[in-house]
Amino acid sequence: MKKTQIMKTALLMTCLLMLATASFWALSCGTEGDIIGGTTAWPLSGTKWWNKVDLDQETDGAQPFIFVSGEGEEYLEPSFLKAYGQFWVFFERRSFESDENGKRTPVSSDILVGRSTDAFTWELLNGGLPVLEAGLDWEDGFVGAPSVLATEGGFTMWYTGGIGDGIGAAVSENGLDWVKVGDEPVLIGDQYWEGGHVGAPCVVFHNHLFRMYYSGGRTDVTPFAQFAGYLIGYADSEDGVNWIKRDTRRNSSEQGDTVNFVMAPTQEWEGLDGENGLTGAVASPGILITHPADRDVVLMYYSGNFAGDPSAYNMSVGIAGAYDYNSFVKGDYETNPALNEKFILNLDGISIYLAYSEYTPSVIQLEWNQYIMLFAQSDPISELTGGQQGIALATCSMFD
Amino acid sequence: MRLTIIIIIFAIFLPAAVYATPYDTFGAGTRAVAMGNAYGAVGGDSSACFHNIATLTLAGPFQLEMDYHRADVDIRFNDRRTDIDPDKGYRIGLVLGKTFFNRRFRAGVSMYIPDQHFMRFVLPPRTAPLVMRYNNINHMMVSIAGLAGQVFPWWSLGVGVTTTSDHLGGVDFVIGEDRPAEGDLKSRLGSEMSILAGTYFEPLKWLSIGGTFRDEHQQKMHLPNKIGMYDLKVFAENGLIIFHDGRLVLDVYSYTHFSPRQYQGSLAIKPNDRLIFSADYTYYEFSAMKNSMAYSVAIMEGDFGEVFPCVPPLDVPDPGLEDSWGIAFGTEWGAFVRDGFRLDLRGGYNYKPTPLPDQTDVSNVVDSDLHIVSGGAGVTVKALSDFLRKPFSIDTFFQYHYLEPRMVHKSDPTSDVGDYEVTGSVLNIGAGMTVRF
Repeated sequence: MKKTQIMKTALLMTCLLMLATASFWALSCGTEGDIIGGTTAWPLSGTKWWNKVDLDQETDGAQPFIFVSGEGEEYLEPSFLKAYGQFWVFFERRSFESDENGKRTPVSSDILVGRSTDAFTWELLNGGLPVLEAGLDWEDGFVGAPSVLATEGGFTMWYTGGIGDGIGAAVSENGLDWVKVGDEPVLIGDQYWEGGHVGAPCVVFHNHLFRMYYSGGRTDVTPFAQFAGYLIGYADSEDGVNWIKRDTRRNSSEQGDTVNFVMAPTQEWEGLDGENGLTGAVASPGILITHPADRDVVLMYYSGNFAGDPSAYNMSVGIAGAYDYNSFVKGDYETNPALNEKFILNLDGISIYLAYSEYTPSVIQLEWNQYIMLFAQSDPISELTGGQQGIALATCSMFD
Repeated sequence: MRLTIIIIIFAIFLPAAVYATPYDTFGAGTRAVAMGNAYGAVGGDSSACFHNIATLTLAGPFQLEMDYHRADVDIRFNDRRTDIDPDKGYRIGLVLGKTFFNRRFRAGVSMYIPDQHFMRFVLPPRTAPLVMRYNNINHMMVSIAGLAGQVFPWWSLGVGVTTTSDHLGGVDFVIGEDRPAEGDLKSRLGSEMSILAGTYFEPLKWLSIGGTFRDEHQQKMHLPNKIGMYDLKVFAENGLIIFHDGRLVLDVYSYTHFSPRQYQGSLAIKPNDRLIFSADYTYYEFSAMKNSMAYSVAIMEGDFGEVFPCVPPLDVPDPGLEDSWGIAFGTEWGAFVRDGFRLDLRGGYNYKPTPLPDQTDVSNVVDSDLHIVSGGAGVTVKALSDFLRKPFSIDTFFQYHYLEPRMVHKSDPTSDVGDYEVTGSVLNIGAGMTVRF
């Protein structure tokens, strides 16, 4: 055989060998990648899907609580933030007295604080004692619904005093020892729709201004709304003390305009029932400002209340969003309510539906594709045995 | 037991469409891909089945081809890379033919076989972003077979059929908290077909003209699923049933893997035996695509119907694809030709404006204007051995896809996806051989 022919044959064999090797290599790759493929970078805005996290898997049922309230009290209105390398939650403890008929009446409230290194495992600070208590005349024995920001040199808190009597401010270097700013509230209910009632603030600092979202409006439609109001308003401030209320029509309290609310109950789950003349309630906003691409998005997480529920324990969390600071668009009926769990119980001959109540949300963005919500929850199963209520945790992430 | 039957159109988690076949996205054949897929008036191998089936007549009477490619996809949302699986698989081509009455007649087949799955559908939430050209497209077997013949030595005609694999079947099982699941998964491969045709002229010795028609191709998927559940007890010890047995019958229908009807005009100039310049223009009828969003009919019995959402999930609007076009340019240069040995160098460029309008609403089909640069080399050796007396070729290529950055702004600030910018590139490399007998 000629030398050139040997070389050509060798070349052919080499090629075939390489091809066979590549084939086996390719086949051996198997089914790499995830089962769906192409999911890892899907943008996630934080509007859905929210799922409660079972933090106590040894106990039956989902137990999303990070703090459970004691007998005769209720934990609510958490303010969730990440500051100084740790996670913090400031929340209201509301105390009740019950009469001989079992009717509960709120008698006082104060503010507690918890801390965590991972947002899932929490400890109550200050020995479980309140870090802010009512003491000023206008607070009338109630301070609650805190909204806390990490500011220069420590923290600043805005809180509700009394039963919607105003919003006060306080500062602290360590989150435990607080000094109130002045003897009067920094925001009062002086607009027509507020009826002298404002509360449940959420303050963010964005684009050089403090921006406060608060709920207001005097109503007795539910016990919850009696404290938190049923409409949501907006104000901004350069110093966190002097506030200017604004609305979507560019009305401003600074110019003496009548300023409207920025959000009202419009969806059925919020309790709006025109046939029966019920207004429903939206209240206790929690604000998260994200910047997913080239513009900011203001997300509002808020409580909606089924009007007429005497126990107030049929509240849910909804979501609205805006590309400015106050022109909110509510999530559609696939989005809202974002947290609305109910529990079926089948007993012989009857079926009952116990509604969990999820309310007063506060949300942070942990990663670009993970959001964590702290909220108040009442547990329907425990209702059967005396009630379990506290601060609970939910996450929004891809494929929980 | 209560019986609640709820009909839901558009369930929450349903298969959403991906588009096209691997051939639409990457082209077919190592030589053609290297030449920017400007191949409709070049031909001469089994990849002509896709590019212009009439040019099968330029192939030898018996040639076997096999090549392999791997495309690594780097698509980014807001500068974060997705994990879209690489597209990789084999293409096997075969051309057989005879010459009658001084006219060449050829039969050809070009088959793409992915090395991961014969068929795969993605199953994301309906609003999840899907990159229409790249999301799992290669997880589908594609075969194009056809016939071509010379009417005159300067005019050829060809017709063929594109066949893609399809998946049929679904799950049927019952699950329980205190007993093993029972049931089965019925799954089998089906097929979808569409026709293609081509014509090829050589009006001058140095000029070739081609025309190709590829019909629309879209798979209709039907997945009948039945999922049952026994009584669910909240406390196993006391037998308190919180969820009576139920059954979910979920029939899913979806149109997927859309490939538009295409009209292609091609031109090739051959100044001499060592040089080819080619160009293709293709018109794509993307507007004919049926709404790619899947719909289903769900029948929920028992307590399923009490706890699952009872309102119909929102309709996802049609992404509204528009007709589009693409141009391709290619060249091949015989850089070294001597003593039965030939080295060809190839290059090409392909531009495809996106057919996708801005997705400001709920739908999140993703695409952008696409630039493709390619290159490659081929070695042909004559009379390799006594067994291989005809030329034997080895070809390699690379292909680089560049998606122009595109910002997507959502009109609804509560969109679950939100605003995003998509950017991306794909590096596709491959090699193959052609054996002629």
